[in-house]
Amino acid sequence: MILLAHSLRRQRVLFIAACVLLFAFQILLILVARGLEWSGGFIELGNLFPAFLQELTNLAMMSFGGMVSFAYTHPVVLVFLIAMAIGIGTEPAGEIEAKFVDLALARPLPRRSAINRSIALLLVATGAALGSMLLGTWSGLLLLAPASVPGPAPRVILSLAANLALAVLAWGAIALTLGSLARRRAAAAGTTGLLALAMFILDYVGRLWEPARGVSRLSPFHYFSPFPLIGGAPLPGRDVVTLAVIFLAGCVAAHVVYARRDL
Amino acid sequence: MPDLARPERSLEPPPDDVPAVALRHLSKSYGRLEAVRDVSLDVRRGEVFGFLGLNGAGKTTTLRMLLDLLRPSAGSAALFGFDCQREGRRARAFVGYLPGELGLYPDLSGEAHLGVLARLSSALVNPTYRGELLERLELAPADLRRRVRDYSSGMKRKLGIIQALQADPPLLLLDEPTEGLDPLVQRALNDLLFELRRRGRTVFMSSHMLSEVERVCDRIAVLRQGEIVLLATVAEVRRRGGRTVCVHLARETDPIVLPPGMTFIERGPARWQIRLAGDVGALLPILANLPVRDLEIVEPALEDVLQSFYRKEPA
Repeated sequence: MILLAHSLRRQRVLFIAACVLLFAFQILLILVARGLEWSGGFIELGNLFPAFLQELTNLAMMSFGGMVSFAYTHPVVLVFLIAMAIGIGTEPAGEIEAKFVDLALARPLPRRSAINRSIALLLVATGAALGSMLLGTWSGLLLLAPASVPGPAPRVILSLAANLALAVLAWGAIALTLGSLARRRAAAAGTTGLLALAMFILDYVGRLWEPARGVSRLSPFHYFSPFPLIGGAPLPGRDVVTLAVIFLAGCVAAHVVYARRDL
Repeated sequence: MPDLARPERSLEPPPDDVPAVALRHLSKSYGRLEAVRDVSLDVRRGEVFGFLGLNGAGKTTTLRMLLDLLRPSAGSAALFGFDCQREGRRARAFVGYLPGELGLYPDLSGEAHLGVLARLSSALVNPTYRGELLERLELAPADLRRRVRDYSSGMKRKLGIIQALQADPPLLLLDEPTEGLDPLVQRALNDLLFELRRRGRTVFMSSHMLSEVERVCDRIAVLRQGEIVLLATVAEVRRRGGRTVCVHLARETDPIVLPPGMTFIERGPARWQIRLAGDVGALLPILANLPVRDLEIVEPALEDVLQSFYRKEPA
């Protein structure tokens, strides 16, 4: 708890700023959706999409509700949250690099406390980020939504948020495993970032090109499928379980690696 | 200098008569490089023990194995009888550690560092005790409120020493404690170490500064390429060096034949320098018959004796 409080205290400005930005992004997107709704711009916008994107997204966000829901799959949000998870997950490597580990773990603390702290921080930060997004969506819909247009169903928003949270946690746990192995934070963060990019591309290719579909199952992004959810489909249990297993496996691997290594 | 106020609750090690530090055939290898090789030694309770050696000799590696930050390739280490790996948390409950390289966060104040590190320790920190440490090491409360990025290297070192001492642990592991400190603060730290020893605290410190080691340590070990090449009290080491007797003669005198264990270093017409391996008593009857004007007995500096252990096999 002391380590968690210490990490939260050090990064509180960053976390608060991230939450405020995510909140503001929801409001902004609702304002944009309202403007498009009033001007009838959704149909024109849909026509601008290339055929492969129309096929990939089913034009799910080409409505007021769809665009509001789109915030939970927007690439900027996804990159932002995964970068945050990578930052948190690589903190053990950062502490080794900065030598803070010599001060902290020279005290009667078990080694696992450093990893448990990062897991707790990952959960807290992801929860706070998604909480801010949900709060932004809720308050934006309450205050800014056009009266005659239906907003997205709460079930859809919650499913999207849950799917996004699990994807972020999975990448956070992957970063934690690499962060527990490395001596340099930049090396761990860079490797995780490149891996995430490669997995994103693999998933993308798998969705568009049939022969790559099998291999794309290796990508954690394969289990983050927001467009069917925006269309009203339920969150697949397979995706929830797979992302949760990746998160748990990453946490266990981080514990094992960190317990055995030289610091 | 008044004694430091005792902390409200200090950690007391187990009452058994076990050494504060016990290393048994401790080794650490990185691939083919043996950083520490078969090191065995005991540090008794209440002792100030100096761990000496050149850079890369294995001093820091040994200290970090005691804290379970590094895992030994072979052998074992124990603090107050608790194995550093199997019972690491219990062993570390008695330790205050000053690392050679301080991992302080530039964006945090000195006060915030001391606060979080105190909470991570298993003992309560007495604010009066900490205040006296700050005063003795000349770190003002205003400095403590500043961010560490604004600290000089000496101030960071002082902060490091205070975080190690603030819980008044029974054992202090200090890696180059006076590195970067000015001579006055070095003196203040040495005085602190004397007081801690008087209160039964044990100090295991690595150092390059032989004058400091000579002043504060009871025993020393010299590490060379990961191996202990000397383990002795400071007094024993000095004796190994032999004293030098400088004989000033009133007039030119024919050389004499010295008894066994004595050798001429310099044999001038009116000034002789003689190296003694033992007591000076055997020399006095010979000098009694000579026109001696003055006699100086020079104790060897630890540095002179240890030079030979640092680089090559001792004779």
